[in-house]
Amino acid sequence: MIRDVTTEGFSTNDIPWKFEAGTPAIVEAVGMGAAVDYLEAIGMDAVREHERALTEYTLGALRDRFGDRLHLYGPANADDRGGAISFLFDGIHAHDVSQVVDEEGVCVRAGHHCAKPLMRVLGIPATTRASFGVYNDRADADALVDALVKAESFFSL
Amino acid sequence: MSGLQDLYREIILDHYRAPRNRGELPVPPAQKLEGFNPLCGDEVVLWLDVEDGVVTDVKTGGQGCSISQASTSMMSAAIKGKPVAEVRTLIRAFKALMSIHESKLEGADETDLADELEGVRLGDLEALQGVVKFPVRIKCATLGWNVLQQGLDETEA
Repeated sequence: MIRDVTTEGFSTNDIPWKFEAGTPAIVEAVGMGAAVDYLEAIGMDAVREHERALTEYTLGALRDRFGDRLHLYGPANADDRGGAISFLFDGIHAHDVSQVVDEEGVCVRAGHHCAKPLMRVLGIPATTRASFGVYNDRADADALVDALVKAESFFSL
Repeated sequence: MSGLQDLYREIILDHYRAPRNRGELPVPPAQKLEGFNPLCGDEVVLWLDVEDGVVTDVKTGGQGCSISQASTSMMSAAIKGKPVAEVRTLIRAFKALMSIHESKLEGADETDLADELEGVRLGDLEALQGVVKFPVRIKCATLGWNVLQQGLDETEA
């Protein structure tokens, strides 16, 4: 960042170096490399298929268990979406749902997901969102469904 | 689910399902005030009628989680018809309940606050005490109160 420092002042280096203060993100770069090695060893096709199958299973389980009471956002077919599922119960706020499922050991995100214009188009304040990765399995999906059963009964009118 | 029962006491869920003083007031003479929690999208709108140093009427609007909306509903019931000075004391007492001590930040004597709040009756609002165990939800409970405080400050400015 600096070219020179004295007890009276300092002068800065030329662009771009003046904006690159401190230690470069060495640890992060090494971590990124390890993550890429990990995913490549599994194979990205296998990663995609694992997430697709788990998303399909979970969408089906949520529909079976809650029917029209739970709104699912995004394409109905798992082939057309990634491994994240956003949902909302009628009359129960997304944050209240996340609080109850948290107590059940299920970690989800709740809120507008940095997509307020989309929330406005959908006419809702927020959704709860569960995301799956290679480290999740059907037991996790079942735990989510069970936790949502508790959330629904806890807030039932 | 004992922690959850502390957070979502029955009276809180009752205020969430059937919010008190819901509606609007003509502006002027009423003041309209809005507050947001940008991270979660919660929103509180207050209409405040202050005449001769008394909160003669209050109406509430907005949407959000059960804690933010129930706290606002309970607040509206607690302040309606009360002198502004008493309402300000109630605001301090409620924030103290939420472990927020603003006067301490301003360097005031802690015992002065304790003396002032001695004998302040929070009534139903004490049901929100369980929120303190869930630090991320404190901002939900205080949203309406911050809007109220801002409204009183503007009235008296």
